[in-house]
Amino acid sequence: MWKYIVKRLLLMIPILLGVTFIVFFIMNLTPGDPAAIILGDQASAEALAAKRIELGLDKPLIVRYFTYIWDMLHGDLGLSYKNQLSVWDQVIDKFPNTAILAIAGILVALVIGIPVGIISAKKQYTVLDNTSMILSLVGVSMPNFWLGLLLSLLFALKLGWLPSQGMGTGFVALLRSLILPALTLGTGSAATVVRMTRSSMLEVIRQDYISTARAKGISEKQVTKRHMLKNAMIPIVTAVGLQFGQLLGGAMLTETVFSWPGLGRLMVDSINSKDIPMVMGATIFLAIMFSLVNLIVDLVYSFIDPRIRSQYSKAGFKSRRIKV
Amino acid sequence: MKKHLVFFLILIVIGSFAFAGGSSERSSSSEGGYKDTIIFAQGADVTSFDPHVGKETPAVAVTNHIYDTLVDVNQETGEIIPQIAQSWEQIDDTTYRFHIREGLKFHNGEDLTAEDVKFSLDRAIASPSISYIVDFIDTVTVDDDYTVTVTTDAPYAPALRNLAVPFAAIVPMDYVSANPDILKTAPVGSGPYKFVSWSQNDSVKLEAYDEYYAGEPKTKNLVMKVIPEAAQRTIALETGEVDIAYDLLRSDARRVSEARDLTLYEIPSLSCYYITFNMNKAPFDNKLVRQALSMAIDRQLLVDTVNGGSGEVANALVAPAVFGYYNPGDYEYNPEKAKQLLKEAGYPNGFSCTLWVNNNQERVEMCQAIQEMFREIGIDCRVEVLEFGAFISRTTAGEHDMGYFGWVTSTKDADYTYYSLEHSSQQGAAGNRSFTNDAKVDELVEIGRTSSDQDARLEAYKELAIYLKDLSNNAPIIYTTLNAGASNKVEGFEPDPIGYHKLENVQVRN
Repeated sequence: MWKYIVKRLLLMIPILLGVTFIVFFIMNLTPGDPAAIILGDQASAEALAAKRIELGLDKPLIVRYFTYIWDMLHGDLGLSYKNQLSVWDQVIDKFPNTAILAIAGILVALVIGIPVGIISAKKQYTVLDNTSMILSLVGVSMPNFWLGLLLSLLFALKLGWLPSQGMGTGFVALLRSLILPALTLGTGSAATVVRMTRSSMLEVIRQDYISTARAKGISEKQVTKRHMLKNAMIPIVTAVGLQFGQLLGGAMLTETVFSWPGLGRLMVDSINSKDIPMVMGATIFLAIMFSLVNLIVDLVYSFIDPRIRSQYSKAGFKSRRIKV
Repeated sequence: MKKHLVFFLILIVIGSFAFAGGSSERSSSSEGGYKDTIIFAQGADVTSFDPHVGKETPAVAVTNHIYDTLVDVNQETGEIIPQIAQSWEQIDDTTYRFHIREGLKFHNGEDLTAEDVKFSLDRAIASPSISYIVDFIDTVTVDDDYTVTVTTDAPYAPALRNLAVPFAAIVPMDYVSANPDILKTAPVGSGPYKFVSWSQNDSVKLEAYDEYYAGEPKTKNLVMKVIPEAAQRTIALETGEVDIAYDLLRSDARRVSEARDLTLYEIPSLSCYYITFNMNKAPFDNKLVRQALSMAIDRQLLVDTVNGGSGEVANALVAPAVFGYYNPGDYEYNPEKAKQLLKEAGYPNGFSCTLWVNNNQERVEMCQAIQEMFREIGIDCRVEVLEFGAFISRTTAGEHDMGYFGWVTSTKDADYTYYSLEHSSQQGAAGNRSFTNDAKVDELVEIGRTSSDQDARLEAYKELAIYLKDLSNNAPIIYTTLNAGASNKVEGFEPDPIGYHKLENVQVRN
């Protein structure tokens, strides 16, 4: 097991190198002079030239890339072009806000997604199933920013129940300010989870062992919980894990709409102002987080499915079957 | 059963949060019927609290409460008024002497003396981001603790107006020398508000400086909230989460003006949008062609439709509120005459060309409308949208046929615009992207720049406006307006035409 984890962690190195390579070159090959971005369009030509040298922009791209990687390996992500503050400090400062939002979003997705998915599967082709499938199609298709605006029009402006934007300070204020962004963020994921739960449940629902379980007189509730859901769980966990990773990095629109001071907003602002070090730093950080989440998901498999667990152990594939 | 209980408990908790009254973010009230906090929202965060670096409007809208400048400009009369300098005299064409108010203190308790003024101006001149505002200064000398002499390289008429620009802020010497980067995040000035805290991408908190020379600000706390989504700024204003919201969407502005408990403030800005013709390229080196293109543009229609009725038709590069503005008469819209001019210029069948614009939706829409108007007179014009950095660097290099630009006369003095955009020494990066090189223009710009006689300056700018209209190296299109929305409870809010709104005299009724 440990060997597997270490192997996976080592595999992250080429992934991160690939990410840095792609982002670095895309950001640097798009037009726009970082020196002009820092100094503004009124700066003199001499000042711009001096700034370019200071930033090392006079060196070839490949040299700059390796300098960046070398600095990164020494824990130095550089200074933001825009505000000249440490990239690492800003990323670390904003990440918890994004994590709070992503966790709240995935909770919304789970609380809505799994029960609705189960009911849908068990009542396949009924009105209930059709309704939830249509709603989840709407949920997947609806743009986040639009849903966010609608929610804040309704709950903040018309009803006055919740703040329309911002991140509250203090526990109660924080929770109040979290509800609308979490709903906005979670809706799309919830829809994905519903569909995944439904299809995965449908796959096991007609298996022989389910009939056997029922024949043995186990209550329908127990059958659903212990025999269907547990066996249907792997694809669901995969979907949820991927969704969570996406929420961590993909909260940009939601954070912008709700003025949530997270990493997504920071990235949008940085991309708009071509703040290369900031974009690089935030992307690398998110890539690490995404890889870690994926690793955790893979490890969770082994807790759900003994067959996978046994593959990790040296003992190999023993005759441990799922009990029916 | 247990699960149902848990579910209900969760529901109750969520419900109680949802219905719990008054968020802690709202401004709390104090005695006297006025709130002790003003909350205002803007679209972007402060880039740097260092006044010699952070020159973007959202930064200055906050930092100009923290720092003062030597002098200020009276918004209504346009006159130069004292601020840190109590008085001043112009000794000769190139020498100014300033008498600093005695007893001024920075927020950290340090005395503000002539040394700080010298340090600050020297620091501003050395800052590549904003030196263009103060680089007219040759030397700054300290005569005594409260007297400073500023000499200029050459006679420079707008000197005082430039010193009133927030970038020429006075900062504490000892505090900044100890750590040159400190102002980026821990600003100290001598302005009406002290810095309290900054939560990046979220908010800035300021507190009234009770020793401010002009009296303590009327409201104790000032909170700036960053709300990037324009529609959300309006919603936050409507729900009362903020008292003032800057820069509303045009569609929202109407809603705000119709709302019973809100007020829309709309004032002419100091921005002018214009098309620059690259005179280094044929056929734009031909005056008749430039005049024809300018004449093909129905400016009023652009204001009414593309700009949704806000703004005004431009007739010069400087806006009416700027010192030195003269109206040379509106630009004529006459497609028939334009075709005639093209014929005279030797292009009876028109020609193909490109119009460059940076990737800003409103600007692109404007160019698309203009493209159609050019088509009416037989010009096949392609609109090319460029990323801002590329737009600036490629037009600096003179690769464009035509470019759609915006310009703000931030010193409120015509010299700032005419010198940068029209003087032959300013070609390229400095602003003159029509690459005009005209002796008459240079002469008039220089009179305006150097004459200490205000009437002579105005006369020169009048002549220049008329001459430029004929030269048509730039086609001014539209003066924009600047808006803000506020609750009806807000008193004393006077929007600034650049967007550097000051709130020290603003109060919000309970």
